[in-house]
Amino acid sequence: MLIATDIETNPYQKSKKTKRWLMTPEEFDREQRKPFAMNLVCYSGVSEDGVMDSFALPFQNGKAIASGAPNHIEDIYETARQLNDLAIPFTLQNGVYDCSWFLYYGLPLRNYAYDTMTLWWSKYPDLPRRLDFISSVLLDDYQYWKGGRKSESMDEHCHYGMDDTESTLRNTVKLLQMATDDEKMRVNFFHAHLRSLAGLHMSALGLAVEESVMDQIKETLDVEAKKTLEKLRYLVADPDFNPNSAPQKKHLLHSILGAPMRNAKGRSVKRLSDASTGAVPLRAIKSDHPLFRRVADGILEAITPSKQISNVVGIARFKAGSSGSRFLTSYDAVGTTTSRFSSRASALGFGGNAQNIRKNYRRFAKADTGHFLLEIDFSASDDVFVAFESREPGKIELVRSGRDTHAVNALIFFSDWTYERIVDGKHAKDPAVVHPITGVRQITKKVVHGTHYLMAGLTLLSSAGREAIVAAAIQNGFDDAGTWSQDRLVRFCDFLSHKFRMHYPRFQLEHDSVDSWYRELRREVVSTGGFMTPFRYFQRFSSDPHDDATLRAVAATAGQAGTAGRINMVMDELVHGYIPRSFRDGPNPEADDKPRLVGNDINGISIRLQTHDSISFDVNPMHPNWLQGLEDIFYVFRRPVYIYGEEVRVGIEADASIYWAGKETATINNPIELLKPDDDGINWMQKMSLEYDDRRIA
Amino acid sequence: MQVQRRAKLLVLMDKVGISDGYKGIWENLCRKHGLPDSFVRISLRSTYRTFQSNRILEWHLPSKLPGFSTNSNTQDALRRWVQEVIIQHEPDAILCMDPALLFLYNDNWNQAKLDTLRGGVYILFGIPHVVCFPITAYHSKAKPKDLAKLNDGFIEKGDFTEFQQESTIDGDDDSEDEDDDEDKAATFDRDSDDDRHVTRHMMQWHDPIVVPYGRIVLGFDLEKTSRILTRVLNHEAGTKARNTNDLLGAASSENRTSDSQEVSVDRDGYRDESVPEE
Repeated sequence: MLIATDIETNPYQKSKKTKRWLMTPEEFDREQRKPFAMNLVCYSGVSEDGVMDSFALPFQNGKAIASGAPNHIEDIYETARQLNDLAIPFTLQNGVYDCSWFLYYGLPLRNYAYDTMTLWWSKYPDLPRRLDFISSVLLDDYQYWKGGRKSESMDEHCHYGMDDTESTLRNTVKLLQMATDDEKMRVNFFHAHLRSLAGLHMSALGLAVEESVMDQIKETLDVEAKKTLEKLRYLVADPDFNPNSAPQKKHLLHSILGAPMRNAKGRSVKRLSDASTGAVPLRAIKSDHPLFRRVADGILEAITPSKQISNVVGIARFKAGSSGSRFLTSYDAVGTTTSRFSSRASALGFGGNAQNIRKNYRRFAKADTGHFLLEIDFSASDDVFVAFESREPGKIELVRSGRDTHAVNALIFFSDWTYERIVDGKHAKDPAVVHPITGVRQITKKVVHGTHYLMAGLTLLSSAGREAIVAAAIQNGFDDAGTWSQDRLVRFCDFLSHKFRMHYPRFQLEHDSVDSWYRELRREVVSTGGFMTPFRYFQRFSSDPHDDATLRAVAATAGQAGTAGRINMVMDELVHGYIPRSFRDGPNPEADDKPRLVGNDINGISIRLQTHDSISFDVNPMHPNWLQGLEDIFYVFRRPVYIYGEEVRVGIEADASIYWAGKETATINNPIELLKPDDDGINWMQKMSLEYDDRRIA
Repeated sequence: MQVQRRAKLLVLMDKVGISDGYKGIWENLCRKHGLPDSFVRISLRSTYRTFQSNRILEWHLPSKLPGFSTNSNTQDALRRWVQEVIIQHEPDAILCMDPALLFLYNDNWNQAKLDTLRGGVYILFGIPHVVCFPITAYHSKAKPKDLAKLNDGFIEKGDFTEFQQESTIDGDDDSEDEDDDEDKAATFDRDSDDDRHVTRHMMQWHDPIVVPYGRIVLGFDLEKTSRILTRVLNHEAGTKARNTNDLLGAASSENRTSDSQEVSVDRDGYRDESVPEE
């Protein structure tokens, strides 16, 4: 037995036809209403003899919110509740969305066993994951049916919903058949489904919002937006110039100033219609002429505050009764090809992307009352995984030495510097070392990153920026580098990459006669069609394995998916108590260790956010096990992994704070430090006026 | 499974078609995805030898892709053309890569695009039709040769637009499709010469379909076609076809096509021999 279910929601959104909000944000705030309403729940079931039946349970009389609930809504609700409570396996398409709604309506799904989107991603991570696309490949009688969702008729809407569930059901059967013969797909699905559930858990909790801080941020950003816009308008002598208008920007940059035209990827184009004014081409334009730079900087400065206003201040907050408002986000376990979470507004329509909020503005979110936040992230994780994956002895030795890897690598490019000078400069915040554009340590980071991932000279130049590369050339004794043409700067970028590759021979470009990591990656992608990370995530590449672009993508996967795998491994254990039995290169010696879990009931700790290589926890210090819980978290973060037989431990950085990335942050190496008195005899918890359970100290 | 004879597949190409440059790629794809010569005989046909693209394709903003012509006379002519080609070739299945023919499967202009209907299976004139990307989707970037073929020799949109603005000329489409000599023998009502006088500014810039995952999707669609051909042959040979209730089976009797009068489907989903072919 297998049941597919799907919900349909009526959105609170801008009407495409009238360009009006169906319900204004002010009304929404005032009435504290949800931005969507669930109007339909559909089920399709298949019995053991292959008979499929579908049902639609309408929660409203029509598609519009105003159409009201049916007379028998109580029976309908109870039927849905009983169906959702069945122990029969359920399958959904993007079930995290539906499950969020079921939770919101008090109809939790007991056995969310399969997900077509996750199953499909497990096989083809780089293909679209829409239900119609999956059906178009798997079902031999597929016909496009998605047009039905636009119909105003409730009957047609019900049919459309049941078409969805039937397709989901049939796709699941097909995908499970595929998975039977494909171990890589099964492993990918297992981990992705665990992540989906962890993401759902985080999405449901969110973080408390401090409205007064939000107001402050809004005020700051408004002032900044006004100031930068005035400055830009003065600069371009146009009092009506709109930096968010692409045609106006094109006219200014290309028609008036004559800046070279580039597309969104920064490549030269001939036609104005093909020119882009996005961040990448603007960055490139900056390096073409000092005048262009001033204008491009002005545009970027004017856009940034309004973007942050939309990302931070403009988000809809979930009103949680008397406990104030909350910031919600929805994590998609299969939203990237590297197995990293992607983030967007929650299924209920509140909140937004938690991964693109600048650190300065994160402080609007905070721990629950009386609690604090602990944010732990892996340091230089991509670099560590690239070192061990590449099996470059010099790089492995450097990672293991505990020295500042960027300072050591800087000596490859800047022979006039010494390791001690760079490290001292970093501590003293010497601009020659740490300046974000011209500091030698920062330049080194950019060049090494680009070289690892096989960036060509031009790509490296546009990603690092002309100023950084000119500064690097000047450091190398080329005092006239400021006057160099783009071609010469590209050649200089290639020269820097070449120096790095000579220093670490395993990073040499692929060639039959060279013992290069990239040659091995190429062989792997040609023979298997993909790349397997140490955590047994297999990423299949649909593109031509002989293409250079494919090799670049594989190299990026080796670094990024390694980090993602490590953070996912932490989540799997802390949320689900799962420790992998084995890694790609052998068994996990710690597989039989007792899993360490977090939970409100276990230790007063709950997992709230995951941003790239960090996880944020909400900690209730009044729980008797909170300190043990923190120690468990540190332990799990510090567990080793094994790559090609080598033990790999990635360093961690931990910060405790009341506000997310707030100013009162305590950076700790061990949880007990939170209770260590300072010179005045008071500890961080006391400074924060937090009551805590300190029985461990006693 | 018993296969009695070689299957016959008719491919209705887009304007680029499967030219000499693409022949190798096409043959490799077919071999690799279940359509080897030993199993199937493939005929390639194109409407663009008979009709001009600016008569059978329409561009409506904001859609970036061209769609079918909404002119009922044009649609009738195209429908007749397809029927005649079917009579001529008697295919077991049709692979449609031509955006101009998508009105046969879905009469909603906004929906009837290759990227939306791709992978769809429709029973029309008693024959299963599979909608598929054109061969240009094999590449991830548009090839200059394909751009030229779609845009009267122009590979730059700027030059094309400039030329359009400058001249108003006879728009007879004289591009030749060397791969498809058989087209000349097809019998249908050609448009009168008067109708073919169009102004150049009626032409629209036409980008070939290129998608990052086109290569793999072409493979999926050819595999699907191969499965469908196998079912058709097995059905013909008396093998019991799948029950419509079978979840993994082929097209059900509840096919939802826009052209229901012309569709005749048996319980197993395929050719109803009782329907006379035109």
